[in-house]
Amino acid sequence: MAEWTYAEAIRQALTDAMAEDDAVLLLGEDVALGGPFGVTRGLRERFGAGRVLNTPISEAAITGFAVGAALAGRRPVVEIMFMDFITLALDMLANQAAKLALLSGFQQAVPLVVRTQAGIYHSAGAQHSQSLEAWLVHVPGLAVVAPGVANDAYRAVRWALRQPGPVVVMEHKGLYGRRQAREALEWDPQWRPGPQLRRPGRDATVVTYSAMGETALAAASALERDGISVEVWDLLGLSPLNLEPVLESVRRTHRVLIVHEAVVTGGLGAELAARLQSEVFDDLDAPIFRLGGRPVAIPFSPPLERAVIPSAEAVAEAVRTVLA
Amino acid sequence: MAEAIRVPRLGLGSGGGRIAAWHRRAGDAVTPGAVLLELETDKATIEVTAEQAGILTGVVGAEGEWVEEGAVLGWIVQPGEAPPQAEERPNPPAGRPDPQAPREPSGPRVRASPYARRLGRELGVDLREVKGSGPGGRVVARDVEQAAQSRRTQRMRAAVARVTAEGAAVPSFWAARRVEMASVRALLEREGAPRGVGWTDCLLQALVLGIAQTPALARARRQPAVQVGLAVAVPGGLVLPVLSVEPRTGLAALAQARRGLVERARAGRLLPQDVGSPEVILSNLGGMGVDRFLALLAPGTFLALAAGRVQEGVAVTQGAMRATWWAEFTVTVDHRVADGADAARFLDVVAQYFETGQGLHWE
Repeated sequence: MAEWTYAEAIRQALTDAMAEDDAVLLLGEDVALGGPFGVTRGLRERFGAGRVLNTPISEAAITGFAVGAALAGRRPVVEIMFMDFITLALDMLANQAAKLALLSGFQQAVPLVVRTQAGIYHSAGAQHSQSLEAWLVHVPGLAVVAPGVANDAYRAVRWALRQPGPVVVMEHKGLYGRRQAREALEWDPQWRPGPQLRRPGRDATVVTYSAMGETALAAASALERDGISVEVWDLLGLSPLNLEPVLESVRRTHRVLIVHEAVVTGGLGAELAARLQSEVFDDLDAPIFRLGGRPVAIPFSPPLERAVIPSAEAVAEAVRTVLA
Repeated sequence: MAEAIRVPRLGLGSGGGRIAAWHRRAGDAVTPGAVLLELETDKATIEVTAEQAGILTGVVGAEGEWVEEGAVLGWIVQPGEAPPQAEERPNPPAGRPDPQAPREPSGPRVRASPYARRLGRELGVDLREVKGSGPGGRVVARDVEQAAQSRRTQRMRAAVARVTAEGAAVPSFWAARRVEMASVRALLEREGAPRGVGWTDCLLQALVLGIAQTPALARARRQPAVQVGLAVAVPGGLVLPVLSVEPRTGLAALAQARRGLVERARAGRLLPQDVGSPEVILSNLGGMGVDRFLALLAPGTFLALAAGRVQEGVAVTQGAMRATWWAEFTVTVDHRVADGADAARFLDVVAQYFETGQGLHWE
C-alpha cells in the first residue's frame, strides 16, 4: 500500500484545495521555497507567484494581510514559521480574525487558515520549540486542530479550508517525516476533526494529541508486557472540543491520564480534566492525572531538551500512578 | 377471597431475595398473571405474578429490601374487601445483618473514589466496611467488587451449610455399584455420534429410567417428568438448577438443555424455571477425577446419584481377563420412600443402561 509522510499529506491537501478553489493562496516566510520543512515545495511552480507568496519577516503583517485577503473573498493559508512566533500574530488572530464576523453582524467571514510548526525537534532552542495551543483555544471563534498522523493531517487541512472562520493547524516538527499507509484521497465533506482511537484498551484511558500520540502508544506497548491494557485517544480537534468518544472510554476504564507536550500549568490538560470530571465524575476510580512539559524554557542541550517533555517511560509510570 | 403475595421459594438455599422492582403499586387493579414485582437472588431474577384478579393492597417491602422466603409482601383483594391483618414480617436472624440494605454513611467520611461510591450504592456494599487498597487507603472499585464477591460467597456458603444440615436430618442410606461403561463409551465416541452429548446426559437418562422402573421410586416422583437438580460448581460454591427430564427425552435434547442450564448457572443468570424444586439430585464429579463419593440429599429430594470417573480397568469373565471401562455409582435414598432392595433395583437399571445400552436413545 502506498505510504506518505505527514509533510506530503499536508502538501497534498494544499495542492488539492488550490486546484479546486482559485481563492486559496499561500503566504508566509519562505513558502515559495518550500518552507523550512519542504511542506510547500513545488507549489509556487505549479500555482504561480500570484498564489504562493513569500513575505517579509513580520508575523503581524503577514497575518493582517491574510485577514484582509479573507475579508476580500480569498482563502489565505498563512504559514507561521515556528509556533513560538504566533505571539506576534496574536492580535490579528484573537482581536481581528476571530471577532470580525461578530463585529460585522455576520456580514463578513474570515476564512483564514494558519499553519504553524510546534514542538521540540533537534535542539531548535527556547524560541523555536514551544507548543502554545493553550493560548489559542482560549479565544472564542478560533478553531484549533493538531493532527498526529499523516492521514489526519490531510483531512485537517482540507477541513480547515472549508470553514467559514479562522482555523489554526498546529503541525509538529517531529512528525513531518513520519510515514503512514495512505488512506483514500476521497475527501468526505462530512468529516470533522474529532477524537481518534489509536489503540483500544481496558484499564486506563490516555488522552493526548499531536506528537505525544506516538509517545503514548510506545508507553502502551511497554505496559502491555506487564498485562496493563491502555486505551489511547488522539484528540485531533482541540477547539472546538468533542469529547463524546473519550467520555465513553472513561466510562469503561474509569481511569484517565492526559498527556501533552505543552507546559502542564494552564495547559489544555487542565481544560480536559475539568470537562471530563464534570461529565463522568461518578465513573472515576482515581483522580485525573496530567503529564506535560516541565515549566521551564526549553533547553538547547539535547539531553536536557529530552528531559523537559514526557518520555514513553514517564507516560508508562504516570499510567501506573493512575492505576494505583 | 384475599390472596397473599408471598416471597416464593427461590431455589435451593436462597432463603430469600432482594426486591429488585415493584411493577404495580398499591391500589392498582391487576389481572391473573400480571407481574407484580421482581425478586433478585444470587442466582436469578424472579418475577412474582398475581394468581387472581383484584386490587393490590397492603404492600410492604421497599425496592432494594431483603425479604425472607414466605414473607407476605402484600394482598390482592376484591373491591370493598379489607386486607387481612398484616403478618409480622420475620426479622433477619441474629448475627446475620441484613446484607442487602445500603446504609447511609455516618461517622467519619470514607475516603473512596466516585466510582467506588457508585458501585457501593449499586451493589449494596457499605464502604465503611471495606478496606481501601488505593493511594492513602482510598477505597477504589476493585475493593468494592471484592467485597461484593466475598459477600456472595459467604451467602452461598451459608446456604450450602443450611441445605447440608437439613439434608443430613433426612433418614437415608446409600448403596454403590461398579458399572461397566465400555459399550456406551463406544456409542458416544463412534464416528457420527451427535456432538456435545456427554456422560452427564447419559446419566440423566439412566437416572430417570431407573426411577421409572423402580416402583417405590416411581411413586415418590410428582409426575413422569422428574425434576432433577444438577449440582453445578460456580465460583464460591455450588448451585442446584433444575432440569425437567422425562424417560422419553432423547440425549440430543437433554444435552442441549443441560448445556444451556450449566452455562446460565455459571454466569449467574438462571431463569425462573431453572430454580424450581428438585426431587432428585445428580452430581457428577467423574470429570474431575473423583473415583467415588456420596451425594447428600437436599431438603425435598428423595434420591441423589453420585457418579465417579470413567476409567480403564480389568473385567474377569469366566476366568478370562479383558480390558474395559468402569465407573462407580453411589445412590443415596430417603429411607422413608424406599429400601435397600429398591436402591439395588435402581442401580441395576442404571447398570443395564450403561452395560448394554438398554434404554439409551438419541432422539
